[in-house]
Amino acid sequence: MLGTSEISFGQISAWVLAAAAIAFAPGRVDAVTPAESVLKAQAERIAMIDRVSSAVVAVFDTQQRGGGSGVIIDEQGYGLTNYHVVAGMLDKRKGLGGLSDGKLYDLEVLGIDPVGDVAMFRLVGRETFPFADLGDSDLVRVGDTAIAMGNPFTLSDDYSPTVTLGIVTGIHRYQWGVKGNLTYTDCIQVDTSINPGNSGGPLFNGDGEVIGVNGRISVNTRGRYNVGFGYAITSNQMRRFIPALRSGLVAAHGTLQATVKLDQNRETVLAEMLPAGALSRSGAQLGDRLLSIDGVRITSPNHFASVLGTYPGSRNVRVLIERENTKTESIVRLDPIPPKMRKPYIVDQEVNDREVRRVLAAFKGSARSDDTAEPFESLKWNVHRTHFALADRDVKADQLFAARVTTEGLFLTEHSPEENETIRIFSFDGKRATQRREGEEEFDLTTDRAMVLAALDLVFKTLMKPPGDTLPGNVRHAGGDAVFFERMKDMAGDLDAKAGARYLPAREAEVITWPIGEDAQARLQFDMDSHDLLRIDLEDDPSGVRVSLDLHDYEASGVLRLPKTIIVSGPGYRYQDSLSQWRVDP
Amino acid sequence: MILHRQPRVALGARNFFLLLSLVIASFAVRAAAGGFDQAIDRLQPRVVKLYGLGAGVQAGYGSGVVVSEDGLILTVSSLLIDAKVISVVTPEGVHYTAEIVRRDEKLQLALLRMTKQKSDQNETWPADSPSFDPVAGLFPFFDLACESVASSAQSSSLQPGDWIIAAGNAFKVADGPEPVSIAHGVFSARTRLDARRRVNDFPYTGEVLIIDGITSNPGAPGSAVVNIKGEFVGMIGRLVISNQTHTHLNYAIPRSVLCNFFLQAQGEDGTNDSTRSRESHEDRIDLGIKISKTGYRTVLPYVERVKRKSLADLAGVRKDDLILSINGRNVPDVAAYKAGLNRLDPGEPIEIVIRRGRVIKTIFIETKGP
Repeated sequence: MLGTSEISFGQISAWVLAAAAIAFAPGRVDAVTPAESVLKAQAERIAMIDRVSSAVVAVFDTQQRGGGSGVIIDEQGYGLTNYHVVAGMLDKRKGLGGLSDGKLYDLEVLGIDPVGDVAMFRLVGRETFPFADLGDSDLVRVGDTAIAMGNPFTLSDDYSPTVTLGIVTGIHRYQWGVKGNLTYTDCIQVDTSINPGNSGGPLFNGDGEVIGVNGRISVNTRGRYNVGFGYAITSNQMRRFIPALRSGLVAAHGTLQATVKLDQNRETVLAEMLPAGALSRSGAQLGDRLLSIDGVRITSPNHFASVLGTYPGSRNVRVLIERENTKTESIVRLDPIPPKMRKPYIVDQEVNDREVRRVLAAFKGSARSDDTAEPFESLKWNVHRTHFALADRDVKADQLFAARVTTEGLFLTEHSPEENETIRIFSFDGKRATQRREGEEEFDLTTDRAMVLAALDLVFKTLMKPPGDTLPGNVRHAGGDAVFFERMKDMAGDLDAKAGARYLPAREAEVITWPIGEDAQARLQFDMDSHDLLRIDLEDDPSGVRVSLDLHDYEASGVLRLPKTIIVSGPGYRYQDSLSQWRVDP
Repeated sequence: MILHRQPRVALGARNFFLLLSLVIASFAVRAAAGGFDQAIDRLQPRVVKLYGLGAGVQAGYGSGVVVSEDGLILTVSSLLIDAKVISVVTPEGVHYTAEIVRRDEKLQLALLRMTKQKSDQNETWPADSPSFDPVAGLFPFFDLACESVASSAQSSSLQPGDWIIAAGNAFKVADGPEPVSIAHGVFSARTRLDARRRVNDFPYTGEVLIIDGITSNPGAPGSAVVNIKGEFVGMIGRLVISNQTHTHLNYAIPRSVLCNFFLQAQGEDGTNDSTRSRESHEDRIDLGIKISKTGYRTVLPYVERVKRKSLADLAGVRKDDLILSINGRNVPDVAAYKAGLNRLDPGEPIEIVIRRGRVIKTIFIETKGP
C-alpha cells in the first residue's frame, strides 16, 4: 500500500507546475528539485510500467482495422481481452496482435464469454511471450492506484501501449448489460482515463499485477469518451472462466434459479425459486434467509445479482442458508444460462483437444515421477480403516483388507486380514463389472459400484499410463469448477463441529469429461495447481444413478504420487477408505 | 513540512516554485501515511443518494452532503427536488423521505431535511435504524464550521495543486447500501463563475473552485468535496457550460458560499420555499399556476398545482386542468403557454380556455396592475 500510494502522488509535480504556470505565467522557470521520495516513487512506477507494457497487446482484425487492447497472461501467448473486441473476428477466429516490440503477431480467438464480455486469445509466432501476472482483485480497495494500458483511439503506430493513471473509485459495482450480454458484475470502477480502444486492455495495480480488464465507461451527453467513470472486469471473475476460455468454449454464466428480496430486518430472503432449479435442489425453501455465497455476505438483491454474475454455470458454490435460526451450508451446482448469440459458436475441437492433452499430461507428470514405458504391472494398497455412513446413521467399521490392481486380468481383489485368503474378486472388462466370491457364481455389480470400478480402471489403466498419441473420442475439456471437500472425520470419527465450516476451502479444478462404457460419463476434476485428480463424478445416463469419488491426501510412494484417502458417495451411502500404503509391483 | 499551510502571498516566481517543491515533499510524506484512504473514509459515510423528479436529460437522481447530525442535507437546487417525494438513501442503504427547508435560485442551492424512513410497515423513526436516533441524532455529517469561515477572509487553506477528492452518485452507479463513487483531481484555481445552462445564463456568478478532474456528470451535483485530509472544502455545483470556453466546467461551490446559505436557512428555520424566486417568465405575472414538467417530446401544459388563494385559484383553475388557449391563442405545449404568459401586460385581463376531463371551460382572470 505504501508503495502504491506514493506512486500516484508522484505525478503531482507535473500538475502543480501546469497549474502554477497558468496562474502566474512566469517568463522563465528555474528547475525544481522534487523530494527524494517522490523521485523514487516515480522511478519505481516507470520501471513497473516498462516491465508490464511488453505484455499489453494492440488487438486488430486481420485487415488491421478497428482496434482494441488485450493482455498476455502466460508465456505461451494466451491472453485476455473483451468479447466485444473479438466479436467481429468470430467468423475466421483470426486477428492480429501488436506488441511493444513493434511487431504484429497472428492472433487466434479461443473461448468467449459474451455475458461477462471476456474472450481469450493466443498469440503465435514466438517461442515465449512476455506476460503479466493476474492479481487478486479481492484485495483492491477504493483509493488504490489504477493504471490502464492499451491502444485508445489507436494512437500507437509502433504498438507500444498508452498509459493512463488514476485511482479505484468504486468496487463491487454492477453495470447492466445489453439483452443479457456484456454485463459487468462486481466490477472495479476507476477514474483512470478509459477511452474507445482501451477495451480489453489490462488494469494494473501499483505493483503491476492485472486486477482487471477495462471494457466499459459511463458517458454523458458529450460523446463516447472518458468522463472519469471506467469499469473493469475483475481478475478473480476471469480466473474462474479461464479454463473454459482456454479450451475454446462459449462460457455460460451460472444461476441459482432464485431471487431474493429484503425483509423487514433488511436481510436477504428467498423471494422466488424455480422448483427444479439449483438452489431448490439443495433443499432451500422460499422465505429462507440467504446469508452468503462462497463466504461473501449478501447485503441486497443487487449485491446478490452482482456476486452471482461472477460465476460460470455448472460450477459449485457454497451457499449458507438460515431457517428458524438454523444455519445450513450446502454446495450447490449453479445452473448454466447459455448466452444469447446470433450465430452458434462451434467449438474448435483442435483447441479443445490441446487443453485435454495439457491437463492429462500435467496429471501424469504429477502422478508419476518417471516416464518408463510400463512402470507397474500391478498396484496394491492396504486399507487400514473404513468408515461407512448409511443414510443418516454412521456405521463405523475397522477392517483390514488389501486390494490389488493389475493392468490386466483381475481388477480388484479383496483379501481377508490374514492376507492370504481371498474374499472377493471384482473385475471390469471395459463393459461389464462383476463380483465373485471364492467358490461362488459371479454376478453383475449394481450400476453405482460398477461405475466406481470403471472409474478406477480409467485412472490406473489409462490416465497413469505413458501418454498415447490419440485421445479416445468424445473426451472433452469442459472448463473449470470448484471442488469442495467436506471436512473429514478425525480419528475418533467425529465431525469437527467446532470448526464451524463444513467444507474445506474450495480448490480450483479443470474438468475433463470422459465417456465410460456406453451410457455413463465421468467428470474428472484436476487441481489447477497440483494437477492431482481431486474428484470423479460419475453419472449413468439411462438410470440417473450418480456416484462420486473424492481423492484426498496425495502422497508420494515410490515413483507414484497417489491419494491416501478415497471417499465414495453413492445413492444412500458413503464410505471413506483410509489407505495405509500403496505398493507397486514391478 | 507544514509550509503548505502558509497563506499564498505575493512571492516571486522562483520562491513560489521553491515553496511548491516543499509542498510536493509534504504530499509524498502524507501519501506514505495512507494516500487517499483518510479522505475517502471520511467522505463516503457523509454523502447520501437522492432520487426525485427527472425529465429528458435531467437526471432523476443526485447527491447530497449531510451537514448536521439531525439529517440536514445540502444539495443543488434542481428539478430533482421538485418531486412530490424526495427520496434519500443513506450510506447504510436506509431510505428516508426529505422535505425542502430552503432553496435559493440565485445560488442554485437547496437545504433538505430527512423526515422519515420510507417504509410501508413503519411510518415512524425506526428504533433500530443504524444511522439515526431521533433523540441523540446520529447521522455522520460534515461540520461546515461556518464560524471559522466568517472570521477569516481566507476561507480555506486550499492551494492550487492540492489534491481534492469528491464523492457522489454520478450515473447512479451505487445502489442501496453501496458506497458512492469517488473522483480525484487537483484544485486548479479560484474564480468567479460565468456560465450558462444550455441557453440560459447560470444565475450564480460567485466564487467557485475549479477542479482538474472530471466532475461534470449527471448525478454528480451535490457531491461533497474534501481535501487530502478529508476536510470539507466544497460541493459540486450544477452542470454548467463556461461562457468563455464553451466547455463543461468542473467546479465546486466553496464552503464559504455554502455557509452563508446554510446560516440564512438556519436563521429562518421552518420557512419553506421562502426565497424562491423563479427566473422564468411564468412568474412575471404570478397567476399561481404550476405547470407539470413531465412529458415526452411535447409537454402539454397540464396544471400540476395551483397556489392557494392565488389569482388562478380564485378564478377557478384546478389541478390537472389542461390549458388550451390564453387570450385567444392556442397553447399546444408548455413553451407556447409560457410565451402566451410572456405576451401579457400587467393588468391585462386574461381569458384562459381549459379542458377538465371532458369539459371545456373558459376562465377569466383579473390581474392587478404593476
